[in-house]
Amino acid sequence: MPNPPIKPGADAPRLYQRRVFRQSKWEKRERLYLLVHDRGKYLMSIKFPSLDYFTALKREMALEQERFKRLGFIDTTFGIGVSQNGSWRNFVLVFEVFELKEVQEVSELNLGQLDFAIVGENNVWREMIENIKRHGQADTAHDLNTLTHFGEALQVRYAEPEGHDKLYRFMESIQEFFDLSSKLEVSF
Amino acid sequence: MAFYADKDYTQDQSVLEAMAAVMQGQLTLHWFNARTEKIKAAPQDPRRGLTYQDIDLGTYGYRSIPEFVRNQQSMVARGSEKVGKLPDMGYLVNRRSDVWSDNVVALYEESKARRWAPAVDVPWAELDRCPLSSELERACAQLYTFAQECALVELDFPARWVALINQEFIELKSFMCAQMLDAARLLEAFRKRALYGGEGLGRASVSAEQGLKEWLWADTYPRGSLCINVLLGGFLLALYRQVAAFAPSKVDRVIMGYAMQDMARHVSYGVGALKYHLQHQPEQKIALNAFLDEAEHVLLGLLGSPELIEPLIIISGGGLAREQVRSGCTAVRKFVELEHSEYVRRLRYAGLERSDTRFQRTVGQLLAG
Repeated sequence: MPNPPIKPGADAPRLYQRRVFRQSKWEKRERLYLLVHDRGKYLMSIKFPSLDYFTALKREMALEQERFKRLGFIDTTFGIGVSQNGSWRNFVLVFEVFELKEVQEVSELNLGQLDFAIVGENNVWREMIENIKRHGQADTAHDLNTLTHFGEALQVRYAEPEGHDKLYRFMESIQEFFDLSSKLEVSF
Repeated sequence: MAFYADKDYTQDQSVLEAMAAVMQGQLTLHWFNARTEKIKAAPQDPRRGLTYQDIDLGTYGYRSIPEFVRNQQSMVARGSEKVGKLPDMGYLVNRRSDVWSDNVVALYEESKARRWAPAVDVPWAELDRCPLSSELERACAQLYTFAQECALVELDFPARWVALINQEFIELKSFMCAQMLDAARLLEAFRKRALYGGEGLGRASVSAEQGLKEWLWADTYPRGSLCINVLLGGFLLALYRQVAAFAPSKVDRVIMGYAMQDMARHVSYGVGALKYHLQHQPEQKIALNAFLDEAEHVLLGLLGSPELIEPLIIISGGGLAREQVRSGCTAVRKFVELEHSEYVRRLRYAGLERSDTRFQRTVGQLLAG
C-alpha cells in the first residue's frame, strides 16, 4: 500500500490549512441532507468517502445526544485518510464536549495539528461500514480497535503519544460515532 | 494516636462559652471579613457544567501554585485566609514539578464525565446466551486473575502517596482519587467477569507480584509514577487493547473497551507528569535513566509470567488446538513488539531517550528467538 499524503510532525513543509467553506456551500449541504433524510429514513444513499458522509454522521450524533452524554466528554481532533486507486481523500474531525463540532475535507493530514489519524484502504473502511450496517454496530473483528491494533488493516499515525492515547481515552465515543453509519444508506 | 490537637475542647471553657453564646443568637460574624479574593465563577461551556478549569481564578487558581510550596503545610483550602495555629500535616511532596502535569485538570474532569458501572454497563447475560468453550473460559478466568493483581497495585499507588502530597495540589490529589476509583472499578469488573464465567479465579503470578511490589515501593513519587503510570499503565493499556481485539465474547470486549479508556487517562497523566518533571528538573534525566536500567526488568516479569502469557496466547488464538496456539503465539509476539515500541516512544516524548538498554536487548533476543 502506498504511503498516504501525511506530513508528520510540526516541521511539515506545508502546514495543514483549514478550508473555510463559504456559507452557501454549507447551506447546499444542509439542503442535500434534508433531501436525503426524511423522518429517520434516508431516501438517497450517501457516498463514502465524502464530506456528506461525515456531515450525515454529525447530524445523527446531534440527534443521539443522550447516548453520547452517557459516554462523557469527547475532546479530540483527528484525521481520517481513505485510499483508493492510489489517491487519498482526507478528513479532519473536530469533536468537542458531546458533539462533532466541525468536519472538513483537506488535501493532506498534518499530524502536528492532529491528535492522531486513522488511515487505510477504502475496502477496509467499506468492510467496516457494511459490517456496521448489518449488525447495527461493528462486531469485534470490524471495530476500530481491532482494525488498527497491529496496523495491518488500518493504521494509526501520530506525532505525539499524548495525542495517540486520546484514541483510547475516547474509543467508546468514536466507535459509537462510526456505528451511527447503521442509520445511513452508504454507497461506495 | 500519632497526633493530639493542641487542647481538649471539652475542657476549654472559652470555646464552650462562645458556642453557648452563638446558640443563643449572638453571632460574631467575624468570618464575614475574611481577607480573601472575591471572585464570581461561571462555566465557560454550560454543556460541561462548572469545571475546575472554570475556577482557575486569581489566588484560587492552580496556575498560581509555585514550584516550591513553602510555609503551606496545613490542610487549609487553597486561597482561604489563614489565621491562628494551623496544624503541620507533614507533607513530604511539596515541589510542583514532582507531581504536576499540564493535562491533570482536564483528565480529572474527563474521568468523572466518562465514568461507567460494571454492574449495569456490561451485558453479563451475553455469557449465558453464548457461553465460551471450556479452555477459553479458563483462559479468561486466569487472565482476569492476573488483571486484578495489576488493578490492586494501580489502586495502591495513588493511595500510598495522596496523603503525603501537599494540599495545595487540590486538582492533582482529586485526580489521584479518581485513579483509585478507576482501579477499584477495574478490579470489580475483572473479578465479576472471572466469577460470572463459572471457572472461578486462577493462580497468582509470583514473578508479576514480585516486580509490581518493586515498582509500588519506588522511593520517590516521580519514580513511582514513572513505574506505575507509564510502565505498568502503558503495558496494561496495550494488554486491554489486545484482549479487546481478540475478545472471545461481547462481555470481554465491552469490559476491555472501558478499561482502555480508564487506563489511557493514567498513561496520559504519567507521561505528562514525567515531561513536566524533566522540563523543570532536567538534571533528573541521568538519574531516571539509571533508575530505569534497574526497574525495567519488571516488564519482563509481567510479560514472562506464564499466568499472563499463556491465557493471552489462548485468547488471541481462539483456543488450544495446534493452529490456534500457533496463531496466538504470533499475535502475542506482535503484542510484545507493540508494547515495547510504544513504551520507548512515550519516554522519548517525555524527554528520556532509551537506547541499547539491557531490557531492550533482552526483548530483542526473545523476539528474535
